[in-house]
Amino acid sequence: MKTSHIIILVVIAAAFGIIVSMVGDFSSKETFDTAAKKPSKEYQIVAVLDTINHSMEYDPIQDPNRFVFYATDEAGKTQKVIFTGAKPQDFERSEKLTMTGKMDGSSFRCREILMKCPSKYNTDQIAIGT
Amino acid sequence: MEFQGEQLIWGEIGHFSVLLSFMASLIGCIAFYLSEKSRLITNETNWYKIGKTSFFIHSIAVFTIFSILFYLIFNHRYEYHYVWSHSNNELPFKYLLSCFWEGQEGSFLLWLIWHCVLGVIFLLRKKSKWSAGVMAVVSLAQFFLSISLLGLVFFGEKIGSSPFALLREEMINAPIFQRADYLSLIKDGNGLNPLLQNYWMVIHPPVLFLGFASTLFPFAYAIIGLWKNEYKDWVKPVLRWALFGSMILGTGIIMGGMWAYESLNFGGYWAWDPVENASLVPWLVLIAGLHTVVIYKATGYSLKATLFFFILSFSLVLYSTFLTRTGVLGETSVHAFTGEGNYLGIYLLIYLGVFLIGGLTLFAVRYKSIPDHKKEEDLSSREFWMFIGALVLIISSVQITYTTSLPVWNEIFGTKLAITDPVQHYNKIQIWVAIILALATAMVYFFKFKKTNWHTFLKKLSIPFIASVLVGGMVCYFQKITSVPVAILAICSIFTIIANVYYISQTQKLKIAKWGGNMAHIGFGLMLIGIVLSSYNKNVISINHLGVELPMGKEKPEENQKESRENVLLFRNKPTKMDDYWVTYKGDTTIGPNHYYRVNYLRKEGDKVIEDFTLEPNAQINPKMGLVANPDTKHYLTKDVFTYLTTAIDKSKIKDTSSFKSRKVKIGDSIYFANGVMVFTGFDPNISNPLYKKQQGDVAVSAKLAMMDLQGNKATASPVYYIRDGAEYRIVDTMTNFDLEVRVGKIIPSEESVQIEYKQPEALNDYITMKAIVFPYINLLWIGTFIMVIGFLISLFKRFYS
Repeated sequence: MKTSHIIILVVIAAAFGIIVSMVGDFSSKETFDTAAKKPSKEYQIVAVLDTINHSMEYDPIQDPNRFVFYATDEAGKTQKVIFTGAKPQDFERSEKLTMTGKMDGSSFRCREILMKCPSKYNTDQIAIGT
Repeated sequence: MEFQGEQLIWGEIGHFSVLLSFMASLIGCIAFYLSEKSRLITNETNWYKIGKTSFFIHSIAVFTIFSILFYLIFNHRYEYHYVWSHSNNELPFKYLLSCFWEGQEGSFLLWLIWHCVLGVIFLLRKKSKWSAGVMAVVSLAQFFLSISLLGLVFFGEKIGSSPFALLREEMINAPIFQRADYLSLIKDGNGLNPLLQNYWMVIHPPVLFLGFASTLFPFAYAIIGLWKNEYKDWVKPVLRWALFGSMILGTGIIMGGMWAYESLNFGGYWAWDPVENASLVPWLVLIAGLHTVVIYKATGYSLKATLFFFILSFSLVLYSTFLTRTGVLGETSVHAFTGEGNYLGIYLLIYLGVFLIGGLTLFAVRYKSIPDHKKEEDLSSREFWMFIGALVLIISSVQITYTTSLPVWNEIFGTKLAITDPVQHYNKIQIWVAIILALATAMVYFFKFKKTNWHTFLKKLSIPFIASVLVGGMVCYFQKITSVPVAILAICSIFTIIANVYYISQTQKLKIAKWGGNMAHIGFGLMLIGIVLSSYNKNVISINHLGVELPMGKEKPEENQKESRENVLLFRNKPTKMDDYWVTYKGDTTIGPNHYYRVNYLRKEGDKVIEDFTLEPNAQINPKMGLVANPDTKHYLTKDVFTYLTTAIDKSKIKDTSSFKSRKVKIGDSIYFANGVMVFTGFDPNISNPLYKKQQGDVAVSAKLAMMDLQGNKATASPVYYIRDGAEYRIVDTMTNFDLEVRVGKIIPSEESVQIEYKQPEALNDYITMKAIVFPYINLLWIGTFIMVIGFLISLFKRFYS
């Protein structure tokens, strides 16, 4: 067998091994209900902030690392979310939240939030001066 | 209707230039192609001249587009949609250029311009037998890029979007455009994202795009080499282009990291964000190609790999544009360039398809006839180990691309896969890539091309190896590196540095022209060790110890641990202990739209002040984007103290909102408040509070609260609670030194507990919450980058002048 063949085999094996080893890092996007079935595992949940029926709580004087709000997932379920961190700027303006965390009883404990804010391209509002 | 005040002439010239650039690139492409194909010398020269003229016309048209757009932005011509969307009256002159890269049209324009600049320089140099073919490919790339600016409707589909579209055309339904004088009502534009208003954002995108643009030339050479199936004196220009591209693209990527570090809030320079990955992967592949082309030049091996890598590198630039510009990344990236519409995705896929599939088909057709040696590389040869290094770069690229493309897989296979901890995911694989690369870059120069004597190899390498293990071991010991892979990486990166310095001192000596490769490798080693030290010992010092609810056994301990409490609350003029520092928020200043918050750091040993500096992280309160925070960093030679705001109060909205908070406690329980803690130690029937005047029949009691603030100052509060004539009365104890008012709300004898109510007075309403991180030795990363670029420059110099 030629050395180059051995190398190619090793490379393929390595690439394959890496891809297999990565699978454990992937999880699928879930809803609050499905995430609740496996409370020990971290999931990403895509949801929309609910400020109509619930209010947000953030009192940095009490605890700067606790921000509580309610969000509605893609299945339409609204759940209390506890974020360990400061309230992100412009949170009210978010259109969509991708939250990483796990279910804990009746609330979703979230350690990371990615907000999609309306980009300037689709909030074409014109400010009229006088 | 005749609209008033519009300057339409510029848009018309602009539109014309767009069309002209489009047509000229097409004609240029065809002419260069015919020149390449002509067997008759006269035909060849004639077609070449036409091609050259077309490309110059194309370039002039592109520059005209750029100049007009700049003119319109500079003069605030808000009748143009692009100008209105991406700029406003307040924008300082230095950031006008940034408007170009905020929008999709501007970015494509920038890309077009760099291709033009490189193409014109290429055409002005001496003509070679590759010129026509290379320019045919370049013109084809320009043809595709020009499409994106067309903004014309074909068969009901709008192709491209013009930077000269009018506001009233883009927002056709807005009632304001019923008025002829609508323009007089539009006083200001939408403005530029404050995050882009940063000096790194003025220089980083042009450099990055120049890097992207320079990958086109190795690609074009690969195509034309395959086309002619001829690779003699092909390697010289290809090597120059690969060096140039690697240098510029690498610089652009690191500048992006610096921008993120200086102005973004994730606390670092690299987050494995899809947009970052999308620029990194073409660079990795280009670097692989650079090394294989060096192998080819020296030994004749690895030509196939070289061709393949160069085809891939430019195609990956197109793929990353597809990933980042079409919104397919959607929820996975903070870099939001979404909402550009569907056409863009299809357009980019066609562009990518033509170049990637076209290139690979040509590669497959020619594969058998690409020259190669019959004999295998020797295991002890330099070319063998360089090739292994290139392969590792490719494996790394495959892994990064695979995970970054998750949203694409989801789109194709209808899955909903996600990755919850991307940083950890990439790091745990890429650390091994870095280790192998560090080893390879340390050893490669000690191998000779063709064959090396193992004995001399080991003998020569033993000195730097032993030195590295010693130095590396010490670094690991003093930096308390306990993770095995990280320790290995630290030692290997030091090995890279020492081995290459040693090689220079032993072999290259003062022949500086030969230092290029070694310098680039030393730079790489420094970057790696900088990354290791600054990230492994990255220390969030703003850990919050206050305000934490006492763990009443309700939460699992491991969950308590995992919870990051990395934001700390600072009241104005109340020093707070963070790691070795006393940190004080001193107040804020407003300059223009920016609010600067002065945060003082003080470190003392005994009475001696060791460090005393003030940082001014700022927040821009932007009416369109809300609050956007920018960090501030204290740079030392050996560490950085990085600080940014997480919340700031809007002073205009302050009213007397402070109210009593209530907490039920038993004897021995403590209550945390903003700047200290109080412990309920019991009741005292002998009331000492002078505000209480005893009367007959009172039932009175005083609660004893032992207080301590963060500096360790102690005091005792004794609020009084009494019942007189059947009514409850409370005497508030105001603890001025603690900025706290405290009273007894209720006594619950059955539970042996008491309701303590406390309030932080108005003065404490001025506060910020912030996060502070110490990055040790981060300068090694920047110094390493600088040395790597110097290395590239030396190599380029050598390739041009020797």
